[in-house]
Amino acid sequence: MLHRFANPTRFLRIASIAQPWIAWTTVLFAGTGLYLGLFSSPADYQQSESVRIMYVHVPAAWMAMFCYTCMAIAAGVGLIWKHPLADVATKATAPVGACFTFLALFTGSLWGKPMWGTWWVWDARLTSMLVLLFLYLGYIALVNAFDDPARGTKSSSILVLVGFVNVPIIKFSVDWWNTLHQPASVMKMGGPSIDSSMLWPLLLMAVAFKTYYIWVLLVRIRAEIIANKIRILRLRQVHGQL
Amino acid sequence: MDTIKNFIDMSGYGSYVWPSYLVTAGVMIVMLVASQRLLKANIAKVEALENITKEDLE
Repeated sequence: MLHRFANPTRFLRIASIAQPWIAWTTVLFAGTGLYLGLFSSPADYQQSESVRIMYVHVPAAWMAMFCYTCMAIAAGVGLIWKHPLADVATKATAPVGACFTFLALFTGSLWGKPMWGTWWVWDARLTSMLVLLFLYLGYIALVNAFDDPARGTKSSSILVLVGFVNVPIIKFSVDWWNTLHQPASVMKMGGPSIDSSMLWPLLLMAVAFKTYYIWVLLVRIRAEIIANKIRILRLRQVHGQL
Repeated sequence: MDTIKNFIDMSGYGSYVWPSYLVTAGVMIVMLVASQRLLKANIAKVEALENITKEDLE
């Protein structure tokens, strides 16, 4: 099943059909989520209106970890089974994941200042998220650092797999160490502790962020497949001239 | 008018809430537009290269 979609030509065909549907799904979920988050959901009894930062901060943080997990799976598949699309998917995900991580840190800082009284603190959750941003940037630098793209892909895939240890550290940092950051209130044992009037806009925004990721991923994978074709055509031209 | 002012003020947290939304929207739009441009540029490059290859063959 997976091997069928790993064929780049078939993937390009499916991606061009799916892309407009995914784009409209993103617009629909983001629009509804923003309306509910900004107008319909109540202010928090302790955090007042600042709680509305949650509707962009939490989905960005979830996506930062989700993108890295996707990269680790794709890097593993690329290293072990040499799937033609796996390495392309890893490379296409990295800039999007880096953007989500930056947004989680930036919006978290803006939420932290009025609630904690500081923009930044070197606690486990914040520091491990910063490490995640450096892992994304390290991957992007490494994958483009070799003249031979295959060597760059292999080295950077190993980096992604080693760096994956950071993902469970981020998730459980609020349980393992004393931190200013609050513990999980949605994805936890016993179900969410957040009220449904805030949970719904949060979940809608989370879906919008996920479909946005798929949208950008399809565009970037298509761009990468064509970039590989350009490399092959250029090599053929060079060999033809020799 | 007061309703709009109150909405923008966000009980004094507007200077934290709105930059969060604006920067998030900005970064996501820039990432999407940059990706679309990269795709278009690559399509243009590959078409140009294919035309050169066809001319060489002819």
